[in-house]
Amino acid sequence: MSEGQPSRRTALKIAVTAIVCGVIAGVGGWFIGSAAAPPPRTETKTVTKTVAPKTYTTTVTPPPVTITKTKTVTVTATPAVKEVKIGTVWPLTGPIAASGEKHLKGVELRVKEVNEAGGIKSLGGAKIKLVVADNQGDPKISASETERLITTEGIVGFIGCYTSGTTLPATEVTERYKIPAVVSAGSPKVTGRGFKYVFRAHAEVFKTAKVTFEFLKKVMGVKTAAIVMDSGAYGSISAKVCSALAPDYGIDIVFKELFPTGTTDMKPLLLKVKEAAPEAILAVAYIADALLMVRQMREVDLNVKALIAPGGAGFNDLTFIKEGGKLAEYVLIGIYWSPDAGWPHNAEFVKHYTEVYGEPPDPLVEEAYEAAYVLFDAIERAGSTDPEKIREALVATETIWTAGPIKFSKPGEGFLLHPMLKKLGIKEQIGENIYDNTVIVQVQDGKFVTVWPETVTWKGKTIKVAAAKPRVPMPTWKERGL
Amino acid sequence: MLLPQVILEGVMVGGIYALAATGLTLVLGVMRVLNLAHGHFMMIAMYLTYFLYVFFGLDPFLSIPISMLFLFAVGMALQRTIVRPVIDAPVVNQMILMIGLLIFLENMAAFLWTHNYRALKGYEGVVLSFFGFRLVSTRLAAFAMAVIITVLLYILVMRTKWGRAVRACSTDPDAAMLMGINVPRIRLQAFGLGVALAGAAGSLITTTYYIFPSVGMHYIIVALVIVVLGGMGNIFGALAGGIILGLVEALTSFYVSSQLKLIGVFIVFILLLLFRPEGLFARKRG
Repeated sequence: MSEGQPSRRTALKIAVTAIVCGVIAGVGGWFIGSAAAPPPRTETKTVTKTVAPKTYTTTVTPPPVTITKTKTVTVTATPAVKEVKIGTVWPLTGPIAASGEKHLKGVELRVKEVNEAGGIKSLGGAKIKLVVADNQGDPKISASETERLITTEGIVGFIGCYTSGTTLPATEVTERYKIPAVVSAGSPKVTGRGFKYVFRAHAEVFKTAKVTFEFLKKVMGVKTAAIVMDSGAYGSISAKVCSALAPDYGIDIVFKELFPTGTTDMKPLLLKVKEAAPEAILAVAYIADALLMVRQMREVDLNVKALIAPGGAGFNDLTFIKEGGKLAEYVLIGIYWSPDAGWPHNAEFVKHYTEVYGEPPDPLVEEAYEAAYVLFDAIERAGSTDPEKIREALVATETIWTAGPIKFSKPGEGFLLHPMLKKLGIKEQIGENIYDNTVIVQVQDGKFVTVWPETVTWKGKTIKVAAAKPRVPMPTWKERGL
Repeated sequence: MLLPQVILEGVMVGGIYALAATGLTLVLGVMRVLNLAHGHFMMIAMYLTYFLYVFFGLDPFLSIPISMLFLFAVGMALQRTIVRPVIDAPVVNQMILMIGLLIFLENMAAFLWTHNYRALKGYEGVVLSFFGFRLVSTRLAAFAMAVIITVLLYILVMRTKWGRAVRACSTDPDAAMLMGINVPRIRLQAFGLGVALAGAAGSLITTTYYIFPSVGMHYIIVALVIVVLGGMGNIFGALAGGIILGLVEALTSFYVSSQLKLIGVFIVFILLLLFRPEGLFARKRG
């Protein structure tokens, strides 16, 4: 049976080569994936745009927005503005197209709402016209498409791009042309480059980690925690941020380990956690691993006061509740938006979105919807389509919306999400929302329920944010009868 | 106190890995076709088990014969139609065909059943504790079942007339044909059986893991390593190889890091190829 036939040998050789190649590719991919975002391109294109008549496909009625050689794009002297062109760039094809699509829906919903309510009133009811472009998740395409929107479409505001890798180069372009951009992207660099035309309203990894720790400290009095996170880009950044923030809250990280996405067995890892005996577990895991984690925590009888997921990842996926069933109960999530949080306009947003698209919105939809709100609100207050005036209005923003209050940090204030950012060469963050806007959500009776903060006071008004009381600490598996 | 528990978990996982590898080793040994789509046949069986559980409440252990029969039929049909023409073709052609098949199966599953993760809800099993060990009933049962199926297969191949014919086809197809063995038929049945074993493995895995279209990929890589570890075509070697691999994985993730557990597996693999390329359990050549 073990006769060494030549063809079998060859088969083996090829199989081995294939596996080795796969491993090399995997490891290589991991390194590339974990490497920092590509350095901003230092492209110095001279902007001498000759007016290209062929590009005017749509019938624009006002004197065609002639793109002159200077940077001012619209003609402010024109008295009656009929439409305001806003550019939006997302990954609409490629591997992350599904997420890009959600963002676009969020923006489109806000455009629909504003236009149906009579457009921008301070501009005589001018309608918002959305110019959509697809960056395929590619940083280079993201920059070139943004440039195209500015130079040939004449947009006066920008919304994008979901991934930090595509948002960083796109905002390099908007900054160069002085077009205000309200972004949805996670990296601290987005607002940390000294740019004056970039604004971010939604919370990112520092804020979710911060609020998660505040909850653990103030509500639960937790002193020790373990970090068990996915080894991909988000998980590894989150692990770093959580380790850096923990001492600020008097929490001792007694165990820290990352695991690869799509692991089939987590028990050896969970047994190590059990030995370290932390009071809380901070977890980042995608859906399969999140399900496996709670399932195997029960199997090894690992009991903690809190299993909390800063940023959510797989834990705030509806599949987690559906497939996890009873095992999913009590899990806590620190996330920037929740459908049942009591922020102003939130219930209307959820209702309207569900009516229009036939499915409930998720946080990806909301961050884009919120960005669109911020930009259109600024245009309304500016009463102008001059990008400079819109920027001024953005700087003066002081409002509250579906994920909480919004007020942007100004140049020279020295605002920083965390001092550790100085190590990355970030001196200050400009255009960053100074409010944390993160809520704690818990799985209660098969539903995601916002449990913290109970109330938030904003401009003298008390807003009830939480929909229920947190059920803490998490009972042991034995007490749960599982 | 944790170490024995970790070892136990490793052995349990290894049993499932072994079952995944036996079907592969059979097809490779008898037909010299590397069935790269093996893990994806497991995935098909996992969905079958899932739907039988959801719609008819059928216990996954009881659906083992059903998924074996179903995949036996699928395997034979595929062998007749697309695998047979490449049996004597160069290895590269065979691999391209198999990779094509696995891409097709994965995308078909994603199309029909979406990328969502599924689990047999309410089938989490009872946690047994004894002497300070904790063991989940379903996992123990899956392990026992995997061992039983492997032993039965071993008896079938090593102790029956049909098994002798299979081995004859594997060693020397021409001589086997001269002895009056219907080689194409044996190949057909052996391929069907190999795929059926993927079915059994798939049904068992549903009790401990989640179901999604690309679930087969992890298992095929592990199964390939086991096949080489145990010696190609060696069923008992596959069982031992599976358990060794389960242990290596568990111990690497316990002592080093779970991020590096596959590295542990591949270090073993590379060492093996360097020092015992014929496999740990290959018999001395006569």
